[in-house]
Amino acid sequence: MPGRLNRDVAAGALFVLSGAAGLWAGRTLSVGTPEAMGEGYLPRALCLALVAMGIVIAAGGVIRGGAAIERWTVRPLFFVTVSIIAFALVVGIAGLAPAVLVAILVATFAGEPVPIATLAVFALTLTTAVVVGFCWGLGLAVPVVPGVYL
Amino acid sequence: MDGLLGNLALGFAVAFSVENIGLCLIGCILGTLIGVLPGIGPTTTVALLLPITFYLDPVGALIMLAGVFYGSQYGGSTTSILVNLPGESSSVVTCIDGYQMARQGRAGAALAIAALASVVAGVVTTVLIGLAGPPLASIALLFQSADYVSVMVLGLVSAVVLAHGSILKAVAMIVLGIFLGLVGTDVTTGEQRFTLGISELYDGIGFVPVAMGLFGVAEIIYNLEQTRGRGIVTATIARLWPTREDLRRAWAAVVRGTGLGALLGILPGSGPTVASFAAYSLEKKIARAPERFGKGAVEGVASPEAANNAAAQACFIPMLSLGIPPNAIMALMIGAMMIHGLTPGPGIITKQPELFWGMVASMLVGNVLLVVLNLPLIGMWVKLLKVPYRFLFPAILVFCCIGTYSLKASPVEVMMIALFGVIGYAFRKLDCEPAPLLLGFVLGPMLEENFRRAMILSGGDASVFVTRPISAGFLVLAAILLVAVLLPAFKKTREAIRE
Repeated sequence: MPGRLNRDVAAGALFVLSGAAGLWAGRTLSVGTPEAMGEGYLPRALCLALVAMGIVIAAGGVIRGGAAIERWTVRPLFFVTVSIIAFALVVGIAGLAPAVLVAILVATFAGEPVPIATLAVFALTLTTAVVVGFCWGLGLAVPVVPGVYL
Repeated sequence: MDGLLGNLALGFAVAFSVENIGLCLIGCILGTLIGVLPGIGPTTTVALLLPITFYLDPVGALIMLAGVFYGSQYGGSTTSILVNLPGESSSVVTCIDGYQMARQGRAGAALAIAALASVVAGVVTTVLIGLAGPPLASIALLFQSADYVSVMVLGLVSAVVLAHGSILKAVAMIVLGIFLGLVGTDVTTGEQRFTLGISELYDGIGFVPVAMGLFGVAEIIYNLEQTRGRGIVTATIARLWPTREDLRRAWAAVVRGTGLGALLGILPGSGPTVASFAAYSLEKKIARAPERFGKGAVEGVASPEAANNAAAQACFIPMLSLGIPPNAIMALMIGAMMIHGLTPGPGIITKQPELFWGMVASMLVGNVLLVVLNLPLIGMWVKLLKVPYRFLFPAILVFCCIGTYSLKASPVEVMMIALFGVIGYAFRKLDCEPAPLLLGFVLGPMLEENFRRAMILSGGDASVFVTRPISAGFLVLAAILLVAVLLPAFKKTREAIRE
């Protein structure tokens, strides 16, 4: 349906936004001349191209219409993202084993529900396997818990 | 020819070391495994394995990663034939006739034909790599900066032409990828670019988190959304070996599939998937009785399976001899080389002969291993289909996190996985493929460096790109490709290839 927010319009808008953000963030970089390009020459050219292409893509979407945007399912997106961030936050403070455990527990919420007993067995087995495999098998120099190395 | 044999001997000496043959075997098994499992592809797996390869020597690392890639071409066909479920996108066409053969109780014959077609194609194309690689590389030694810029432009253009969906979106994804590749300290002036004051970004955005986010994490989110448990019906395997009649029909198809696959594999932007579709349509077009196709024609299994494996091997030609990745997987392989401090390019073959010839020899070994592995183990692979995804994906996620963390012990890099996962998922929702972005990301810094150098040498005169014959040749090729894609006839086949 023309005029509605379809995939092309949204994609175009995303490209325009990225290009504009790049232009703004790089506004102080020197452009230089073609003969002696500054650090801002190519980035600026690329961002201008992004903005231009974004406009064309979005305009095409407005005029021709495009496929409607599929529904976003928030659940997997949210829990997968949080699981990774949780790993990143925990690993530096409490070591690898707690980080892996937390990441697995959070991640399981992203999929089909798992019975609590199965989840406990699965999470502990995987954590043990991963920690032993990486720290002992591959000699990874990351503490299992603070101060303890395998 | 003498040189080739000598070089191959060197290669086999490398490939047959205990460590390397073990790594080749691990790569092949892993590749077959992920080939069998739908929803996790070779690109994701190679991305996941990147940090682990840091602990191996470079030759062993590349041997293993290559094994994953061509191993997945074998595994993908197994599920296509047995349960009508393509394990890889390159095995989609194999479903058409392969599954029909299985329903007629000829599953064993179909699997055997697929494996034999793959090994023939794999061996022939590997020999081709050995023959074509060195001369190509010696031509590439004549390249100057301007020529490199043009060959990269050709690579990027063909990535666009053969990608799925909107051309303009693919171009925009490449441009965005190049831009992201430029983040960090500028090598020429030493200025910080787009680092937002985050010290982890001074060396640029890490390749591993980008690849893992765009392919691994985005794919997990997408899969979780699309599939909630898969119904799987396993077919019975009646007899394993194909009849004489099957073999008679198959061999010519294998030869045609190999040729087509090798050709399409060398072309940048193409790859196993495109090759398998092209081979299937060719067989159907030249068959005397095209109506047999779709009802269990042996050629419909033999040709695409030969083509996808040939293409999977042929991709290595431009990667190893020019240092230009023709697709996302080869971009990852280049990433693996750079992790080890190797600069991919024409110098690799002469400076690191044990790497090039070791890989070639290991591919020969690997293809044979795969056939030996595949025929008896088919029953076991099919059981693997029963591992529920809800146990698989948390494990993959944790591997992504640990893998990235192990490189620099940087929590920021781990968070980048999440960021690029969300970006990859969003773009996928909007019909923008992540592969061109990754290609641009890898080529970005190389492209800028050569572009700047070419412009300095020419005194700011852009005409250098059309006055140097090599450069002009590549640009003309790129232009022809672009024009071809805009022609209506070609556009139609390209859309037909879309899944």
